[in-house]
Amino acid sequence: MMNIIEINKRIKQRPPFQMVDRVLEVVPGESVKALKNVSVNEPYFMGHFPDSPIMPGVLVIESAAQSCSLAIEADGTDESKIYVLLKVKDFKFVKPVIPGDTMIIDCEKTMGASGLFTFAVKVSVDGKVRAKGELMFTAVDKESIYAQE
Amino acid sequence: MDAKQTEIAEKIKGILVENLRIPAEELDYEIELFGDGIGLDSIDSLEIIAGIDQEFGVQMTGVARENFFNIEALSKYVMEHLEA
Repeated sequence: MMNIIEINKRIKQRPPFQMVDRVLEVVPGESVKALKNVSVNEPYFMGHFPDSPIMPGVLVIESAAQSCSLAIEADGTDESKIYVLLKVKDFKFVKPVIPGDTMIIDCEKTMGASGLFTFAVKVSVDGKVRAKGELMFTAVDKESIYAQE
Repeated sequence: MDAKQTEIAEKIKGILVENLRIPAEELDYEIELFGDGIGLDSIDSLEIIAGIDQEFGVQMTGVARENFFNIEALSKYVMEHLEA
C-alpha cells in the first residue's frame, strides 16, 4: 500500500495531471493495483462534456500509464531518464467512467526485455470492467527528448 | 540459408506476425522491413529487439541498421550471436 505522499516520491506528475490517488498493491517490476477517485471537480469535466461529464478515454489510459510507471521504476531516482509511453494496444472502453466512480487499475507486466515493458491493464469500477488494453513503455534519456535536430 | 538459420528466420517471422501483426502472407525472408518494404517504424524496431531478446537471448540494442534490413539479415545476426 502507498499513500499520496509516497506516490509523490515515485512519480513526477502533479495536479491537475496526477491520476493515481493510492496504490493498493505493488510487486516491484511486475504488477500494481492502484486506485483513482473520480470527482466532478476535475477540470476536464468542464468541457467533456458540459451537460454529461465523462472521463476522456485518453485520461483513463493516462491513469493506467501512471500506475504502470509505479511498477516499472525501481525508485524513480534516475534523474537522467524518463519513462515514456510508446504504444497503446487494443484499448477498449467498455463503459464510461463518470464522477463518483472509484477506478481500480490493475496492471500486470506481460513482457520486459531490452528495455521495453508491456503491461496488460484492466480498469474496473465496483468490480466491473470499464476499460482494458495493453501499454508499452521504455526509458529514454531526457536529453534526447529535448535535443534540437 | 542453412537449416539452422531458416529455423531462426521462421521464429523471427513469428515475432513479426504475432507482436507487430504483420500479415504472414506479406512476409518473406528477403522483403525489406523498413523504408519501402513493409514500412516498419522505430517503435517496431524496438519491439523486434525485445522479441529477439526474449526468444533467443540475443541483445540487438544499438546494433547497426543493416542487420535489420530483412528477416534474413536478422536471422544471420542472431545465429552468429547465439550462445553455443
